[in-house]
Amino acid sequence: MAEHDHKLIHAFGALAELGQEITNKNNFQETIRTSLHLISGALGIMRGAVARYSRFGHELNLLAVRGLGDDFPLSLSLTGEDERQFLTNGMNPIEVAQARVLPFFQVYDSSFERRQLEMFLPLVVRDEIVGAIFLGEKATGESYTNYDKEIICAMGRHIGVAISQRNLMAEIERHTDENRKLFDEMRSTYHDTVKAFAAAIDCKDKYTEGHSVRVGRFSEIIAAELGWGAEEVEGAAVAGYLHDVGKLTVERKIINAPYRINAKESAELNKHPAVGYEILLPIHHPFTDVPLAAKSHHERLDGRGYPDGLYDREIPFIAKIVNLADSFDAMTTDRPYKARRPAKDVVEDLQSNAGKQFAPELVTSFLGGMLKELTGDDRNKRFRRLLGRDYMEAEGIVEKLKLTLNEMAPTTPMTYVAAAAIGDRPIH
Amino acid sequence: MISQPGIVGTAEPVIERSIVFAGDYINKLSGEQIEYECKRRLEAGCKELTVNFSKTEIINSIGISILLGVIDTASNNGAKVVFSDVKEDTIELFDMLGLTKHVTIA
Repeated sequence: MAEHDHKLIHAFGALAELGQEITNKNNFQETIRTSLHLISGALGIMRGAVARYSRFGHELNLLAVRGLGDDFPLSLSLTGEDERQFLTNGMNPIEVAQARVLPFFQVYDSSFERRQLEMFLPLVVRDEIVGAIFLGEKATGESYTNYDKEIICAMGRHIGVAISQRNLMAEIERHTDENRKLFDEMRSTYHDTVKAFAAAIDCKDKYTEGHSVRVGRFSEIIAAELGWGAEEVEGAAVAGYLHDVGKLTVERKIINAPYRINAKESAELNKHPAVGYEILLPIHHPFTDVPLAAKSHHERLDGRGYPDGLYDREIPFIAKIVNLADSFDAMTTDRPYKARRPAKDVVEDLQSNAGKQFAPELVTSFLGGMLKELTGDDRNKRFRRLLGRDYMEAEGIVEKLKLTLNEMAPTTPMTYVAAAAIGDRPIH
Repeated sequence: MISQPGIVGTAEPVIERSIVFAGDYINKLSGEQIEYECKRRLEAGCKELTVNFSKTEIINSIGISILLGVIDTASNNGAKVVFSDVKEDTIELFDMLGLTKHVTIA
């Protein structure tokens, strides 16, 4: 076989390996290092380097080096003239000795000469310089032939594409990172707005200061106890914060009445779920159930709630959560006409109303969360922070919770409404 | 292994002639092992490094590049490289790529 054929087969082998190396999802740095080995080994080149071009710094930064010594610059600057010439030249090898007219070769002449660099290949992909290959003398001591230059070009194209892809990936990662930051900022703004709304709602009612925020927190606890994901838990909290937004349109004297309000005032107050729904509906919430939670948080499983008298399965699940959180807060805070009830009474109320007003599985999840905190299984102190340590640690509360949960267990996780009650369902 | 002990610093013995045995296929992984062994010996002061190719059947381009690196390091350290027991096909490859200009074939 002629030597030319031998060379061709050897170079083809290297080219095939290079293609495989570049398509493999290996470490980029390692891919470039292997690429330099392959190009050197294909033609018997003593030393060389592969560099990536930085558009921002206008410099070639070496990614892989072989035999150039410690004194060879790791970063080589290009002038505008160099860039123009390299782009015009395209991906064709430049003989260093013939290119001394360019500033680049003048500046680094001594470094190139000391390491006997003979060939320079600008890596141009889609009319952009992405890098360069520096090649030293051939081990044979012969000059580079046209055939050698063809091989260098073919291998250079592969390496150029690998660098270009890497740049593209880095750009995508940067954009993704920026988008993530923007999203986080928007999310933070949204939450701040929600909390501001909650504070505005609570300002109207001097007796129930912090009610919306607490309902948000209790809704969050229930959702977390149900094993929901972080996003859904966050959604439940928002639904709780905004459930009473409709009260913004109710007269302050009705909300703040230090007595039991009359039927007319009650009818006015009872409009707040529907009004809240209308307020929240046009807003694009990341959590779609927020308006429904406002609308249906006074519905009851037995159909005796308002505004629509919905039954069990007709009530959006998020509204059931907010309903429980809302009622729990009402029972555990002082009102103008009623002092807050002891914790044991509240637990009894939740149990007796499970299946009537409250979804039993929510009651057990909520009480289960409370018990975990009191027994030390959950160290978050979520209830203690909201209700106060003395209230939460009332005598006998742990036993009460255990007993209640044991009694309720057979009925969970079913939400039931007696068949007779369904039969009594009013026609809307 | 033929060796002639000497002194480096105060304690390390210098083995001036050393042999590294190459495997049956010199690719990136095995090539880097050979490179490591050769450089270690050259940096310790070895003046004649022999790479024995008696078991070697195939050398790919990465293997060639690594051997060129060994030759370059030896040259920088003033050491001589000997390739021994090289098969005829491999000699042709080394000859075609110019390695034989820098080493002694034994």
